[in-house]
Amino acid sequence: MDALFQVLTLLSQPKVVLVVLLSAVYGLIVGAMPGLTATMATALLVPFLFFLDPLSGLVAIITMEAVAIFAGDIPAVLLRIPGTPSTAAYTDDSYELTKQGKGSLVLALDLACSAIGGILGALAFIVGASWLIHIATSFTSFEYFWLAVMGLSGAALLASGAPVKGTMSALFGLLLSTVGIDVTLGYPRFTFGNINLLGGISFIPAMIGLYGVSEVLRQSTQSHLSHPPAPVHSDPLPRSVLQLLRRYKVQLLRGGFLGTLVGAIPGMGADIAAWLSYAIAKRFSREPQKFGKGSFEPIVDAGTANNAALAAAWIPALVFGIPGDPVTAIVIGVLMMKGLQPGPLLFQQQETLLNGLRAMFILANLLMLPLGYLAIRLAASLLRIPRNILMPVILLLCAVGAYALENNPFDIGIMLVMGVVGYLMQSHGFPLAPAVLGLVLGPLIEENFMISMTKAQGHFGEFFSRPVSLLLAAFTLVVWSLPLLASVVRRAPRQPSDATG
Amino acid sequence: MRMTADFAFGLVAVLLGLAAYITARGFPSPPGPYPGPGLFPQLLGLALAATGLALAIRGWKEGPRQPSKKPLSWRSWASHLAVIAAVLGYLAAAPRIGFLLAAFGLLAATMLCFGAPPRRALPVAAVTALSAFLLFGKALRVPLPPGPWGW
Repeated sequence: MDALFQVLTLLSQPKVVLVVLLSAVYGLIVGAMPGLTATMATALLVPFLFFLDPLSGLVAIITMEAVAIFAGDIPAVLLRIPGTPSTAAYTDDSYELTKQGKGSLVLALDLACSAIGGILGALAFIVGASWLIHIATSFTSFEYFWLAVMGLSGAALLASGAPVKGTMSALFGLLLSTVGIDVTLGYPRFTFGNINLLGGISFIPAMIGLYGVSEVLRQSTQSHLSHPPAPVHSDPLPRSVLQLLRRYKVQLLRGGFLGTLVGAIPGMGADIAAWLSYAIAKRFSREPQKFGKGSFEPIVDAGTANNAALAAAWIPALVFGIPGDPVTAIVIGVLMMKGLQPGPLLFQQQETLLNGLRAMFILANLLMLPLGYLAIRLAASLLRIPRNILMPVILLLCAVGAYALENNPFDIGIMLVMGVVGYLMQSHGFPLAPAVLGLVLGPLIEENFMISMTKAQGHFGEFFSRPVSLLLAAFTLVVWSLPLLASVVRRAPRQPSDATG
Repeated sequence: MRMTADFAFGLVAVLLGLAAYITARGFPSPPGPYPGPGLFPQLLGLALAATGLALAIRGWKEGPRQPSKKPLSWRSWASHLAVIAAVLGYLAAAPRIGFLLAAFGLLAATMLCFGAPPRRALPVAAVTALSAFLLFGKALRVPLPPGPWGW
């Protein structure tokens, strides 16, 4: 009880409340703009977090992310353009319903499902993290190595839908992470004599480039387009939403459960949770023929799943230091920036910080209800902001944001290069998320690999000698073999698939 | 025409991977049976080259998949170049003319290149540059490049 009181006092400080409100509004605006992803929003937020204490900083990310993923549903409903990739799964259904004049109902339903999913994911975070932390304390370099490899492999091979390109993307990220002083001998690798590269590729500028500048480049070709005005809609109807929720309570719980599970697996994230949950909803539906043509079912299922996954992705990030998606990859970066190392020690030493986060996960989702309602009302005018004005503003924010962390103009160069690379990758079907996770996990994988190799004196068999590491290694092998199996079964050329993230 | 994007990307990956491998072979190694700084990048380089080869072969075999996307119009090329040039121009100009003017230049140039009407683009660019200056430079105390006039 004391702890709860302490947490509430902590969170009701005027500064924290202000941070929460501002980041919620920011999340709404960014999420509602087609093409601006929650990841990009988080990357652009980091320069501001630099000036906040760890709690306020993380609280800002939690709020912003939850609201942005909901707001991503708004353009999907009104324009059939998903605002964030995790909305893509049920965009068609949402838009069909809008055409039937039920747009406001869909948005209100989205909002309720997002909040409920977020709370389910938050509960999983609260319970799951404290349980997993006991396992994490027994982890050695072998287990960390396999867990990180498993997460990265999942992102590369399964989540991307394009195994070869996903693997290349992951390897590229890993190679980038080896730039700079190495951990064993302190030897400068791939620095080409440039002192700016001694510390490695700066992660946040790289993220801003990959997700911000690349998006500006992508949209610059269509900047003359302006979106058609959104259809007019009436007020959301709270009572009908409650009716729908009662009717689809199985879907609601199933989406929440599945989203939590998928989100908690390192390397998966909200996008894959939404798609998987859509597929399962269709498989078990009594009327699968209605899917894609205006069914409420996938909206409830996948709309709950993506927000649940969001919170659950924090579990592996904070417990093991292994991010579930690009946003939690940034979270780890922010923690490090604040001198905090994710892992068991964080849970032992930063009790108040963690309690604050636990409470905030719940609060952010409750706060989303009134703010989301407001956003639904304002959505149409948000969507009218012309791209050819918006995109240059984002470009400036990218440049200043990349510079602001280290006050180093070289980082703007990194941002630009990564922006061009990210644009080229994305426009040719290479998923970005594996590269990001590779860049973050690279040092962790290498360090634990080197420690393990040293311990094992070069005998690779040692990597499978402990029960948990054997289990994780087995999971990794399963992840590796799944795409091979799938291609053998199909014996057909793979479909080109879109990049997510 | 067998020269597909996949083939080209695969080839680039092979070259990049091999270059990383060869460079990493030259890294020093500690005495004894212990692995050195070169081991990890060497493994990665080989793996990247191998997957690149797989992609290149697949691209070569399959040829252009789907009716290939129509080539970028000159307008798209110009827009891409405008973005890159704007950032490079900002990098070059900011230390000389200060953040405020450089930021205005970046905004105005890209907005106009993207086809925004000048009477809308120029005021928005000015207001945004000033807001960014106040927000980052004053409120957050980021040492933005001052230029000869201090702004």
